[in-house]
Amino acid sequence: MNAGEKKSIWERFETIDPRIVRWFVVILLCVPLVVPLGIPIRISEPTRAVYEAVESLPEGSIAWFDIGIDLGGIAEQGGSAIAMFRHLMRNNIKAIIVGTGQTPDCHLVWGYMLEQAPDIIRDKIYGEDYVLLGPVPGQELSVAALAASIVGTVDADFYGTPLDEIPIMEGISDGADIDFVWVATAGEHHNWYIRHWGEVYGNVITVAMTGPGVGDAVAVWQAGLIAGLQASQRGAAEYELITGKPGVAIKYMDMQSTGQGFILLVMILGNLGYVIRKYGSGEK
Amino acid sequence: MSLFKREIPLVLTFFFGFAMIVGYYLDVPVFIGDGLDFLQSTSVALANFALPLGAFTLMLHHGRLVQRKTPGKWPFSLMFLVLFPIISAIGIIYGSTSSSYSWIYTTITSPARGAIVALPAFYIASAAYRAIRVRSKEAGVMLLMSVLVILGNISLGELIWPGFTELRNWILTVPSTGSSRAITISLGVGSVFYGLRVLLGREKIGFLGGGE
Repeated sequence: MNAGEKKSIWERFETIDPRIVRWFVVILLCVPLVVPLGIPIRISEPTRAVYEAVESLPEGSIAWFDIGIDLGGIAEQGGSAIAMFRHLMRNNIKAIIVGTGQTPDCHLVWGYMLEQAPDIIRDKIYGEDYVLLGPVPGQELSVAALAASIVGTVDADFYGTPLDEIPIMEGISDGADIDFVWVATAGEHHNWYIRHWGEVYGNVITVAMTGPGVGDAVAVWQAGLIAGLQASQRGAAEYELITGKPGVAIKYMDMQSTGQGFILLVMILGNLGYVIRKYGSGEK
Repeated sequence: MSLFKREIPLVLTFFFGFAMIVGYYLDVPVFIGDGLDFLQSTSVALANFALPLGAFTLMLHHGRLVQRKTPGKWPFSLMFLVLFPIISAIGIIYGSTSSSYSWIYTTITSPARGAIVALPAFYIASAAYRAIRVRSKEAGVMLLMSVLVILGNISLGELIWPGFTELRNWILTVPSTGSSRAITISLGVGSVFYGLRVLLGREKIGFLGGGE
């Protein structure tokens, strides 16, 4: 095309200024915050499997609640964490909260959860129904060490109370005493639990995974190494729905629809422009 | 000094590495199992030693950048050199549960980290638009898969046609899982051989003076 020659509409689609694309994404992400769209969501099989795994636990079971994400992951995983904790408490399952992720943020994520949904611990007693052990550094090393000996790896809860003074920790010494493991991760955190807990003690493990890791986590779920999967934002929204308490994740799903829908649209338009220019002009 | 630089670390690596493998796969006597549990707990404590070492190296690195006034970098390094000791001191003196430390975390660190995590979304949007073009058959397949996965992922897609969710699930559970398993198995086999090379001292790694 010569300089000054007018571009066709298709060629314009092919060369949209990236800044325009980014601004449209910003605007479209904001729209559902002002006007909620309420697009319906269907519950997928991996999410239903997580729900059924929790439902099958008898009252008084012990759940290991590993917040393996940091504050940056809250937008995507916060909904999953809140919905899961609420479900555990509603079914009278006791929860031990830890964080073996890369950043020692689990107590801050826990604080965020309580801020967003204070009802998750309503009528529950700290130390009897749930306990916060806090961050345990060392990543896979700490997961392996905790599997071998919880009391040998952590001697007090996050607030400094010795574990032998906390009622919920009575009779709990290693991974064998844990009935259910829930882990939120943005990487391969779940594989550590599979290796050191699930394969050794046969714990029921379910995972909440961020978007980029979903492909790998689905493979692990299909292999039967984990009982269920809350896949990304959608998994969080589905879990809120299945547990009957819509929250932030469902609201974010509308944002995902408008944002990703727009990306999809420009991808298709850009390709239409490319194909029409290429084949329309006889270019090979 | 080869004995201290090579032979002793190699013998220790082999002994402890082999012991952990045996403890993992075989039913060992209780006293050996307890010893291995102790080793695992110790390794968590050892991992914590990496933290001050990392902090020291970081300070050294940024100190050099400031000293040399490296263009485009030194102001940020200076900011790091000022803020890092202050925030660390608050955390160490008052504790990570104190209101002052929590304030720093929730009003500065958390929003900053959230912004960093959120920023790529906008770049991914424009990059997806520019990069995913049907320049070949392979690129065409990738585009098709991307479109189907996005449509299956968003609730808007399901509203258009419920089948998008099934298609997305099929893509994730069949082709994606297949390729993912191939990678996992290759990685697993590779890791076994890499581990054996490390245990036998055939791998040139840091503690054995690799790269010299």
